[in-house]
Amino acid sequence: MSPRRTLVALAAVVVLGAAALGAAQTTIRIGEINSFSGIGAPFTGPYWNGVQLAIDEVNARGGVLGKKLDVLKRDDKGQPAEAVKHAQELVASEQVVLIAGTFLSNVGLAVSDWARQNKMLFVAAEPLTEALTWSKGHDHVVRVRPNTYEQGRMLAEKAGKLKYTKWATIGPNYEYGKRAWETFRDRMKELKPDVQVVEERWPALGKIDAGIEVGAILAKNPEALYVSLFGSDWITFVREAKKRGLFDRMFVVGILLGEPEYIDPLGLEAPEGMLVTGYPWYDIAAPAHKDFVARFTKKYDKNPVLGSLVGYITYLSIVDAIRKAGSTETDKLVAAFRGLKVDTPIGPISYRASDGQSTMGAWVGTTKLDAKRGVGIVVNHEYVPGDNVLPSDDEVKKLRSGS
Amino acid sequence: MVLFLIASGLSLIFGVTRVVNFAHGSFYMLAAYLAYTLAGALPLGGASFYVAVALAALAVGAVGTLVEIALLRRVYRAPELYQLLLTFALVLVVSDVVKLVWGSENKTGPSAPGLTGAVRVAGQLVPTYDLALIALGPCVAAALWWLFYRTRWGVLIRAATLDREMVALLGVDQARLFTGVFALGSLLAGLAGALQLPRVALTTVMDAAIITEAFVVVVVGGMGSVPGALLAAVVIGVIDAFGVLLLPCSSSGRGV
Repeated sequence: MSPRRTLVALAAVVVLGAAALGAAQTTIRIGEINSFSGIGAPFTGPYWNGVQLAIDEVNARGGVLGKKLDVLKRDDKGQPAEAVKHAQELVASEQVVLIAGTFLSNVGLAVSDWARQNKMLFVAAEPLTEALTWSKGHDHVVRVRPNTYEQGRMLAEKAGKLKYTKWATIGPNYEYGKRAWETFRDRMKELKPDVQVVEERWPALGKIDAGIEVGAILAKNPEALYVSLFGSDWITFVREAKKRGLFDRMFVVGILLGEPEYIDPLGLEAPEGMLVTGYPWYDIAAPAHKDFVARFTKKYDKNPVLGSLVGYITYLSIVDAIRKAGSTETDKLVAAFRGLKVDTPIGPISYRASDGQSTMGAWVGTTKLDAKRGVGIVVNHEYVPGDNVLPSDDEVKKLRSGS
Repeated sequence: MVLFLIASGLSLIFGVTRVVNFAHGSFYMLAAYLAYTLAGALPLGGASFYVAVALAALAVGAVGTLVEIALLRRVYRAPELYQLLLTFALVLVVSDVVKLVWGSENKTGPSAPGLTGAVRVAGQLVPTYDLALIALGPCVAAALWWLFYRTRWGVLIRAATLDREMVALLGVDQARLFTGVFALGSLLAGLAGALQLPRVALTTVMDAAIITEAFVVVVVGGMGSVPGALLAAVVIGVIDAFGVLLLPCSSSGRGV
């Protein structure tokens, strides 16, 4: 290149670099990596709405530590390698102070491992595998949603009181599906020693051949079925299962399946009488929650689903942590998250110092069709706080010492 | 049978035009979503589902024709890489259009009226819709056979599959032939997509999910051979079914 061109290019780089640095100094940048396309999309779209609502509200009140919040959004397409690549780029080129998000448990574990190696804080919103905070847990990861262990136990407590002893299970063949089943199964065997597992089906995530799976389950004649499928897999499964009469022949327990993002698409085809964990946003009496629903509906012209609530709570937590730390340095943020208390629309939650798991709970109830709304809803529900089903600090130490 | 429909379209397009059409899966997905909207919007009661399926297939056939005339014609003379890139670009465009128009939430299509039940076959409940699709497969195959062996256009298609240059030398209008083939291929893909409405959830990744299977069937059956596609679809479908049944853990191909 000619000397003049080189000079111009250099000047441009300096100016842009200064601008970027300048921006980083007047805003606090957070990297949000999530599965915005693919099987997570029904959850992560509304999740992003919740995130934006939180950010807009905080920025409207002046931001944090005198600076506005800037969230940089990246799509990991459901691939662990893609997520890690984005994390690397966000930290190196965009000066984010922490990484938040992810949806699939295997992606969450990959980003968590990256965070451990690179000493950055990872605020995991949705990945549910208990390994994230226990067998593979470490200082630089915290998690918002109640994990597979908690939800499995919540469901087992209820299912253990019923008369069914012959169980089958079907779930997606990856980290989340397996963990979601294990806790439930182990707790059921503790509560009812005569429980026997007659069939386990593990179709590939997003690629279920529902007709065959339903047939295989029916062939073994279980009295009850534990389902950890979600999203499109669940919809396809319901279709085929209804045609073959599965729901008439066995009792069904579904983890996450009472959440609006998974039950609403089924409309009036949603199965009734299922024991589920869910989010009955229409039924929660707390004024703070009603206010949240009103603000969300006003901004987006639709009701919040669980993803929206999770996105909102995740960023409330991040903001509170930055305030408590008084800084955006990773070490101070990590320390701030220990024992952090956050006021959320569903009440106060806290992040345990022992494992970084928040005490956010879940609603356990039964599905029923609501003809007026045209969808299935969760009735007879009970909110189970995370504290009720999480192990003590001593037990957690044992679970984490393996890593 | 749905696999046969989509694979035969793909095979046909490749056989005649030698274009590997990645966008085939996108046509499949587009037709599914179109049928979903039409089935909800048409005021024809019970028949609206079937009309919606037919309309969606035709609409996608029309889209395929437009794509061929406006885009693909310009790259036939170019190296194959450009044709691949073009169809791949179409995949991305259609995917985003679907996301834009219909949103990224999963959708559940309506059940086919009159075919919602199940019958007992050898002790198992088999949905009547599945049986209808199984019956449809040979019908479509027979219709295609009639098209290829009993019409002049079919003769030209078969000739073009065997020797494209010779057909051009003999004075046949290649451009119209290609357009016709592409239209038929996309129509078949569209029909496949629309017919899936009562069976699977509509997602924005349907195109990726089906295109791999379609390519497997086409390659196994022989690129350009529609009877091959039929045989391969049946064989692969059966092997897949037995595989899933006997091996409860299916690999997802992703790093778990």
